[in-house]
Amino acid sequence: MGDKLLQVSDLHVSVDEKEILKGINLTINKGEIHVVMGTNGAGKSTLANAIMGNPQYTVTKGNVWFDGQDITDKAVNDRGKAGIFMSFQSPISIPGITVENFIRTAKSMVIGKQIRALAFKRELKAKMDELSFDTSYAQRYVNEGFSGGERKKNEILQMSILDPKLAILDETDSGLDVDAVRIVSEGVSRFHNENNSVLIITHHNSILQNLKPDFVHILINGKIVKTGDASLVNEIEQNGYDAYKTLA
Amino acid sequence: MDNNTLLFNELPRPTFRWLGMNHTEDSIQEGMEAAKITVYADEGVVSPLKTNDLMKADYEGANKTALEEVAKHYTAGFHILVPEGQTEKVEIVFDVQTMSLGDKTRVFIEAEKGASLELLYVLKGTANKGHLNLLTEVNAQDNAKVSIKKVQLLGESIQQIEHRYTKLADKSQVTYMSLELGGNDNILNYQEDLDGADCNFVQDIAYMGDKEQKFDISALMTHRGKRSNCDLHALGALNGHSKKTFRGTIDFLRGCSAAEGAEEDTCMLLTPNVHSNSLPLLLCKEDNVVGNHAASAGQLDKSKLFYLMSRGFSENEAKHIIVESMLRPLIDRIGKEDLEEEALAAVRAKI
Repeated sequence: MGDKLLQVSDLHVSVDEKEILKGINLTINKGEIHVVMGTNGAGKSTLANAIMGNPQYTVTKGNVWFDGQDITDKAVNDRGKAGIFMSFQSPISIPGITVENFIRTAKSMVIGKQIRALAFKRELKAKMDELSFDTSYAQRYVNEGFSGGERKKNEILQMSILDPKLAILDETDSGLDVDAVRIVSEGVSRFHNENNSVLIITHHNSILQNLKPDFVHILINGKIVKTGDASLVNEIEQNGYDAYKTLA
Repeated sequence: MDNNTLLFNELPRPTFRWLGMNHTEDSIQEGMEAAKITVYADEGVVSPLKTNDLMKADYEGANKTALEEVAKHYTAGFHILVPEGQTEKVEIVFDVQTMSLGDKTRVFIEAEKGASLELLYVLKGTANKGHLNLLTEVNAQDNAKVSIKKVQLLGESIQQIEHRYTKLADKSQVTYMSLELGGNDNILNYQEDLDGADCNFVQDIAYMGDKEQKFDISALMTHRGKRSNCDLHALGALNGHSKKTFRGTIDFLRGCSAAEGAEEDTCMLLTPNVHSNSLPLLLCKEDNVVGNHAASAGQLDKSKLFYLMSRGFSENEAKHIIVESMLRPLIDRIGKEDLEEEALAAVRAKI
């Protein structure tokens, strides 16, 4: 711990000229798990998108540093190659491209070299088994006809194979039944180690059942108004955000 | 209009003069030599065609002059007959290597009661001057099943004129799938008479345009049979300065009670210099029918681009994937791996 992986400094972000993030400061060290909670519309997903570099979100002030480099102006794919992964709230479908081909090609892109087909097939099968993900889905088109839970499992599958330095989970637990949340939580737990970090955006504590967050941040109206330890999650679950709304 | 200019793909009801969509003005490109054609089929299934008469006398094709040329003066003519209850597969490969293409090929298909036919057209070659004029007539009798797949990989300066007329009898099922990837000036005319009760017609036309390529697509599906069903989907992407015009008409005639028809045109615009025109029409003289029509043209989905780029793909690679993913489901249906690879390579070369 203490080895900085992500540093967000005074980050202001606008969408369609409306300011959503109003000066975010956040440091994530290697090996840490951070949780961001907050009311609807507080800017949680905007934070995730801004870190990932979505061009639809405009950084008007501040910087994002990752692994010792200022990535504020870097393209999305460069951030992906640098080791940032985002699990999407609503993963898109890609008809015509199988799950296996997609992840294998993406892995080649990220690591910058071709991957042997047989070795990859073995790894893919093992990871799918871990996620209780029917291996026949490897030959199906990406997310085409997948249920919400299967799409989220596919995101976690990609995360575990792409093996990023920082995984951002943008409400990966939303819309999942309890079993699916448990599987996702276990998958994130297996992925996490002292060399990588996880930023979890969530409304609930169920995804944390197998994880021990180091820091929990409360985001209200585009600002982090409180940072605490894991006990903050339970406090929010019990009391809601009323006590923090006036701090923004 | 000069003396050689002809009107192609005229609308059955020319009411869109203000949009300039009633027809397309064009001429037939000069060319002398026929294509080399290879037919793969079981013995006795395909024989030389011996008629100059059209299956439907008043079918005008993409253009009456162009249709007459191929109907009466065909350089190659094939009669495909599938006897009652039999199943056959036929493949016709046009290998176009000549310096001056002037091919007129006519194919007449008879699928007798309960017969089943799968036909694959492959059009490819290096020729880059002239035209290919192809007429296909299909008579699908009661309970017959006809499937025609077409993979068009012609040279980038070739003109392709295709006329296809189909007649569907009771409970017949006809499925068409076309991949239009080559050719410079592609004029495609499809007309289906859904005469029989409970007949079913499905057509998918996919295209990928680049440079100055043109795709002029006309489809007319006429419902006479009770509970007859048609479903047409044209989809593709345009790059460079390419252009696509789609005219689709579903005509519900009196008596086609409980018929259903749907047509859709989906076009992805990859540059601001492309043109996509679409005119899906519904004509109706029968009360109890269901008709759906839709057209959409748009640029690349930014959310898709972001998703793919977040996985390490560059913007260009992401565009490749998005376009490829749109056409891939159709390419995968060709059913011949080498040809699928060729089609995929042709798509990739155009993005």
